[in-house]
Amino acid sequence: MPSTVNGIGTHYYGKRNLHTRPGVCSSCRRAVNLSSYDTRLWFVIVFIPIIPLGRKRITDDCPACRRHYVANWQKWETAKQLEISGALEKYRSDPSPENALEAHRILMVYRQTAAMADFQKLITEKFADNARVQAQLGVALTAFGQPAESEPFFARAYALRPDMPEARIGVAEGHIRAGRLVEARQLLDFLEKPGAGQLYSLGSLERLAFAYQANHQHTEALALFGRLVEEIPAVAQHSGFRKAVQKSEKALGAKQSVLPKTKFSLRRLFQRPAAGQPASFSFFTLLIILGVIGVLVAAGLAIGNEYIRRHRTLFVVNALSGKLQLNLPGRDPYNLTPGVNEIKLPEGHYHATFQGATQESVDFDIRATYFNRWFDHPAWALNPGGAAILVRVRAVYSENPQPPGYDYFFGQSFQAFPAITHPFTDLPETVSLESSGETRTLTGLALFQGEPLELFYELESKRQHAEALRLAEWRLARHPDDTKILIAYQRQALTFVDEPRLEAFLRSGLTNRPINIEWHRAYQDQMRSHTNHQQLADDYNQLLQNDPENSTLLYLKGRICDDPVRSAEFFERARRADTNNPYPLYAIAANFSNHGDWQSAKPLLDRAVELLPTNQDFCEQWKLVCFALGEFQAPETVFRKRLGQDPFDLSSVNSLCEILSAQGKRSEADQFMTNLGQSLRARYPNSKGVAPAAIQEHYLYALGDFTALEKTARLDKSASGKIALFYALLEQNHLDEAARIFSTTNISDPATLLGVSLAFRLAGRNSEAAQWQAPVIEDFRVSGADCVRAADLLNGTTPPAVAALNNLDLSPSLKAVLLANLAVLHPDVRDQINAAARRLNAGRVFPYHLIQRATAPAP
Amino acid sequence: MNHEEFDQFVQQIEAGVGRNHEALRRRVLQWALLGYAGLLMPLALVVTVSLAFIIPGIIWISEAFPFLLIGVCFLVVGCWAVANLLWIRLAAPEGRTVTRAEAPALFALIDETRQRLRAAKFYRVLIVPDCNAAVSYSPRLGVFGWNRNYLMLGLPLMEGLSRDEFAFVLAHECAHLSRQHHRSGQWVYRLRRSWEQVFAHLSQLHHSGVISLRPFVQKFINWFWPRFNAHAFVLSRAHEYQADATAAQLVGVPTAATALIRNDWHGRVLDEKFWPDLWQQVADHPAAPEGVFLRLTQLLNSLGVGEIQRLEQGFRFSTTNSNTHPCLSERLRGIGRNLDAQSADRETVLLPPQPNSAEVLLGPALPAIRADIEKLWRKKTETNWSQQHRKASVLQERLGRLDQSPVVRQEDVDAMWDKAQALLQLRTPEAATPLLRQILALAPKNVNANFHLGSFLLQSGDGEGEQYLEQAIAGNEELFPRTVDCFQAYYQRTGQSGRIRELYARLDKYEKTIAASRLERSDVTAADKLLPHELSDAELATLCAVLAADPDVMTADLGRKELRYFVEQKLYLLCIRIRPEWYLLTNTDRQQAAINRLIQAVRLPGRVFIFAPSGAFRPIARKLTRIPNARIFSKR
Repeated sequence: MPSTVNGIGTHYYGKRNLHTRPGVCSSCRRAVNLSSYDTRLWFVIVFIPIIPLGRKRITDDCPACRRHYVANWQKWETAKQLEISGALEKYRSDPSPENALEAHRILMVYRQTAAMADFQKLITEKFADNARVQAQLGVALTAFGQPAESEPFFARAYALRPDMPEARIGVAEGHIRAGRLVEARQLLDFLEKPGAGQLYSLGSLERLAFAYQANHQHTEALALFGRLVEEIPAVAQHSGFRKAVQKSEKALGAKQSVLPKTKFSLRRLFQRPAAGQPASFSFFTLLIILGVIGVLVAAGLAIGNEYIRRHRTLFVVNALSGKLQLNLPGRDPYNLTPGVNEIKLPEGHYHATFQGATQESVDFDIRATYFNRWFDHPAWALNPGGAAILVRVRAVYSENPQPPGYDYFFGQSFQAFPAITHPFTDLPETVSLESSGETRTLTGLALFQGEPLELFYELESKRQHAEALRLAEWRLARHPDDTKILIAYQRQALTFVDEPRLEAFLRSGLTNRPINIEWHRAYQDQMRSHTNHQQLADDYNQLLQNDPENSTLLYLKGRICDDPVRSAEFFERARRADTNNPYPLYAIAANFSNHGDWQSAKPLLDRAVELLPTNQDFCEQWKLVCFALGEFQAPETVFRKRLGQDPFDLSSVNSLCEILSAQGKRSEADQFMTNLGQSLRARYPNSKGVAPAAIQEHYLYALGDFTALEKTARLDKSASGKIALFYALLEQNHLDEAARIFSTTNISDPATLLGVSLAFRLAGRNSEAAQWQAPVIEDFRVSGADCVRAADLLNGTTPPAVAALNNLDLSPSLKAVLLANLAVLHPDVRDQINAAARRLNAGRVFPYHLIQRATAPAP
Repeated sequence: MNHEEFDQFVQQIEAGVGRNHEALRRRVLQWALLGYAGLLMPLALVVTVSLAFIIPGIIWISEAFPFLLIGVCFLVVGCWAVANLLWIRLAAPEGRTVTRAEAPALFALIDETRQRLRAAKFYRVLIVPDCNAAVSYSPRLGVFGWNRNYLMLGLPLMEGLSRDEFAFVLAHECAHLSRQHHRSGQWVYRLRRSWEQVFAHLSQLHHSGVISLRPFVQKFINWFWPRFNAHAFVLSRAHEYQADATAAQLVGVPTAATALIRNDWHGRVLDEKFWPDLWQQVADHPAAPEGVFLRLTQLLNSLGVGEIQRLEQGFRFSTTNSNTHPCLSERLRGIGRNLDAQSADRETVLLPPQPNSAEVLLGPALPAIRADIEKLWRKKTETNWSQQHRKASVLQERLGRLDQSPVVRQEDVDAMWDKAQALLQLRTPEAATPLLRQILALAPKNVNANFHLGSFLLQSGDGEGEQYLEQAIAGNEELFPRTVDCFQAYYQRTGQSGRIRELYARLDKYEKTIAASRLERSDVTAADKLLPHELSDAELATLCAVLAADPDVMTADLGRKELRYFVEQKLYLLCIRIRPEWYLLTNTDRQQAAINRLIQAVRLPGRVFIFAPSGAFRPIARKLTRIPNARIFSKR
């Protein structure tokens, strides 16, 4: 059968020798007008005939279902002519009734209407007295869809031979069509005899029964239906027949049916309706078909679902170093490699044990609901020791994409993640979307490869402070020596006033051995800020009681002593107890530095830095001492070496900038900054190719180029940019503008507050200076003895003794700005105090230049 | 494979591999294995296609899950189709089961025979209404075998044979299950029998519109079965001889001979006399008469010289390849019974056995068993009898009408044939014979009368029937296959085995040529050999006149297709060219109209194909022009 797809395919065009006849389609079983014709088959494009594929003879084309018989036209034409000429020749050579009927049949088969009519006329006359010929012509015309034309032939046959069954049936059919049912029944009486079905077709009797029924003569109809059931019991199983019988029985109110019970037949449900019957594609049939399809689909879904259930992937994310083995009951042990390991498991409850790098038991469930197996994409991750950080990336793909969202998971040995489309595989860069407005969300799960500190800062930047603290605690619990994160943790906890949590966490690590000094220092700093000195002292007394000669504990005890003399004694004892402990050296050096004795501090710090070069405090203090002593070569060498090892060590970058600025090597410093920008661009292609603003601002302040600093700071909208602008304005004496940026409530650092106070004081605006000074005094009053003395000095009206000032135990930078303020307040001793201040003013950070300006000798 | 080819094939096997029994057995085994492979092929196909979908569906389940679904659905539907195809439930044979308690003597004989022949056990022993004994192999697994062996013993057979003669029959059946013979040979014998039933079932037409693998399997069966069957046939026939010989050894050759003769004779008497006479009563009785099997027993006990003709007929039968069982005389020769002894055996069997084996072996249970067998037979024939009776009453009524019809009395052939037809169906052919002869006197070529009269005469052993049948075949060649049975039965009865072979050769030739000749006479191609038309001048002049009368025909070429079958018939090819249009191209509509006109007008002594030299007919037209004197008409 020709067919086209989007107008491309094969198609018939043209209809010649068209002939139609009523009949039953052999395919769809509908009673329709079947047509036969000659046509041509074409290959078509957009239904335009392009290539002829040959002439065809179409036979019995059903207008309903379009099914038909097709033959090669030439073959059909040849066969037609040969068969017809053969039959006619046979008849001519032997003009017997049999040959006449055969020739007539052939003409009819080949739809030769005109020739058939002529031949029919010929043989009708020739065999006018042959009842058989007359009856057969009638039968042929009836089969050809010309029942009206057949009637004279049947009538003639009946007149010749009233006994002939075909003639009686033919005439009776005419009566039925004309509604003369009584006459028809009389003629068909022989069909009502028991056993007639063995010899004759009872179709006419059935038609008569239906005619009676249509004529509302149900008694007669039912009698005939009964005869049909007796003769052909199978007809009683036919739905159309049953309905007809039931209709008559209902009309007559018959209590007993002539129909037997219907036998159940599965095949009948799928059979096509018989000719003339309405399509009996009943609801029940539909239900059965749908049921079978449903069962097959359900079976397929169940198998698929079961397969999914039995083949789940467990991701074992191993972030531990060393060998690690996973044991699951009933399975061979799995040797885990570093990174992500995939294990196929059926859903269920599991008890996993790890051996090797960690000894741990984990109970977990791998489960999903039936529908989640199809529509969700869960991922189950086993994280031995909770050592790995997992990151979930949620990317929304659209025409205008938004940055992906990240969630971090750590510290749990097992975790189930719903809706992970890309477990431990990269998300695609792009996806194809149907329309511009469409979005698609993909979710990936990955192992976080960076440093925990980076993640800490990222969480901080996203204001997920609690999560950042939890991360720090998780990290410190596993790596207590991670000083950087300890510091960050401490700062973060203090910023968000979560001190009880901080204290509790730090306190929990005091008994760890070996003693983590940074941990203790952080704890001590936290406790001292609370004035909870007694508890702090008790803590360390108890620790020392257990280990009295421990250098570290002696050093730590020295740190919390309020009495400087006792403190110095503990530091000395600590140094003696362990000459390789850099902390007592650092502490003693700090005392020297606080009193401006840079020469004494230098060798101690040299040794401390040698023993612990990674300690940032040691380095900073050593750099300060070098600055104070004017020794720039050594720190320059050290920091350049460090930058050689890590060009992006920002602390060393800042230090080198300060050193080069202090030496007046501006062009060299500028070149260094340019190189840093290029290096950053090489490593991070998306960067702007310049050094980060914070570093630039630090460098410009150290250099004292406040115009450039102001310019840079105004472009930098970050917190550091705001601070840098504040400094630049103060240094340039734009005090009102500076005061609009920060007020006293925004700043807690006493050195900065005193620096601002000094700036106002130098400008002769003493009341504002006093305002900026007030929080410092207030703070000093609740701090140590030296701080109280410093507060008294700031409030005092009498000039202080320079010796007394020298004894103050404050950090050099704080002490320098304190002295600079006192020098302005007490002009009588100004020169002596200024000299002391300038001696202590070594670090190239705010308010270095302000102090230098304030303490500059009069010209 | 037609009869002749099958016979030739069997002969080839007998002359070739069949001479070495062991080699033949191996060959048959190979064919049997091939048969199993072929039958399992649909299953293999279904599984392979399903796996082609299921495996990718499982491997890439998330992406290719629809594949898994398709595969599973295909597997389910395919397995269902294969199971539907191969899971054939053959009805267990029907009969009256006899138990050991009921007939201890019979079972004692069966046990003894089985033990002596080391034969397999029988699942059931059934008494059946036929005059025969057989082992029925009912496969539990359809084509894959695992048979249940039913021993079926015909009550008429038992009542016609003595105890020892029956022991021979029993031993023959047991020999088919005997372990004394090669086991695989037994297996092949049984396999052939069970496959015969299974393949007959599979070869039935399937319902249109029903999805089925049967057409594929049928193609395989059509190729495989004749080849396997020919090999197994040779082996099975050898097996029949072997079974006869084994059984004869057990009971003695004289007893075996009388058993074979008596069984053959009784069967013929029942088939040709007893049962037809009984069914003649169908017109008068709405139900079968009572005591049929008692009457049957009485008949068998009273058989004597009156039926000697039918006894003699058995000896005249020859062996054909339509049955693995050899003919009576060959079976007797096979057990070593010479001709002189056979004459003595004929005398022996004329005396009925006293007591018969049914009386001895079934003992007091015989009346009850006979009653049950009769009940069984009545149940089986009840519907048919009733239908036949009802039909008879209608025919009676029709006959009454015809008798009253004036045309019958006016000797209208058609009406007389209608009456003869009614008589043939209602009564015996003998009753219609005068009327048939009357019809033939009026219309000697009447096909139906010739056919029925010829059939009846041959059935009655009258050779005159041959000429009537030949006359019928001459009138309608398609009747020939229907006459074959009449001819064969007649030749068998008269011992004309040579004529039987001729008959089958003729049937094969007919089957081969009828289709080919139909094809030849209904198509013309450029590959056909064309001949000069050889029309007489008068015929040609008439044709030319017709052509000249047509306004459009310009030229005409005439030739003839050479026919290989029915060469006396003619097939003419007339190629016409019509006047071209003013634009020098042919108007195909006008061309076709001219052809249509000529189709009705042209009269030639044979089939005529009129065409124009266009399209696919152009090469035929070119070929026609090369025939001498083909151009018969030209207006130029």
